[in-house]
Amino acid sequence: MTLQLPASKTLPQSAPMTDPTPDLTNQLRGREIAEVRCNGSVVLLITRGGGEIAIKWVDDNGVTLRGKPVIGSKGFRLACRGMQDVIYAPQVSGLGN
Amino acid sequence: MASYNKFQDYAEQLHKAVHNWSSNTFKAALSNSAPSAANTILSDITQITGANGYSTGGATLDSVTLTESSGTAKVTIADEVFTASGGTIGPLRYVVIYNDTATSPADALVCWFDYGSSITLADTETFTLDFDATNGLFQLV
Repeated sequence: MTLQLPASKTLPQSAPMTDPTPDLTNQLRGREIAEVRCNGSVVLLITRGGGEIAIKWVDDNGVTLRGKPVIGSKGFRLACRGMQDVIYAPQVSGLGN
Repeated sequence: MASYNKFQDYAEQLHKAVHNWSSNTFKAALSNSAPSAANTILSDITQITGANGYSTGGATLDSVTLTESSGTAKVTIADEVFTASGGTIGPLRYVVIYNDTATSPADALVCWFDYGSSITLADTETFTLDFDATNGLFQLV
């Protein structure tokens, strides 16, 4: 018998990465992580200097999900900003024309 | 976010039909030496050693798509991931996009991106080229 997760529970690995809680970015900005702990439902980031930030995963109803953190991948990301190039047109006398 | 740096020759070769974004194969090569805007072909670029998940010549870019709307052409590309396997990759800093199909000039350069500092991928680590999904690699107006 194969256990299949409902579609809503599958993890789209290729989905775009966003910050689900913008405040989390601000909370961590400039801080140095000294230690990481977990208890099966909460990942605790302990910053140098003694600060703590507890992160947990919840379902759509806000119920805490149990599990353990694993490293899916680690590495680097280069955000490649696109460029807009303009073909010079002599008849164009200014922006908007 | 890394800025797009155009190789000067690209503007000319684009209008000589050297580049066809609908049918040509484009690749991303890695380098630890700063490219020059005056470079024209891949052999002008000093690539990192091909090993441990990086093949000399780089990786083929997937889902290269050219669209046009109201006079603006846009090229979008799927994100590309390099993964170190069996050892390290690098050090590397620059990503160079070029046309692997072009023959005259061969492997004509398009643009490059600067990570900002040299990095080395440890075994199993990844390097993701996160191309702009909204604005594409570039737009021509």
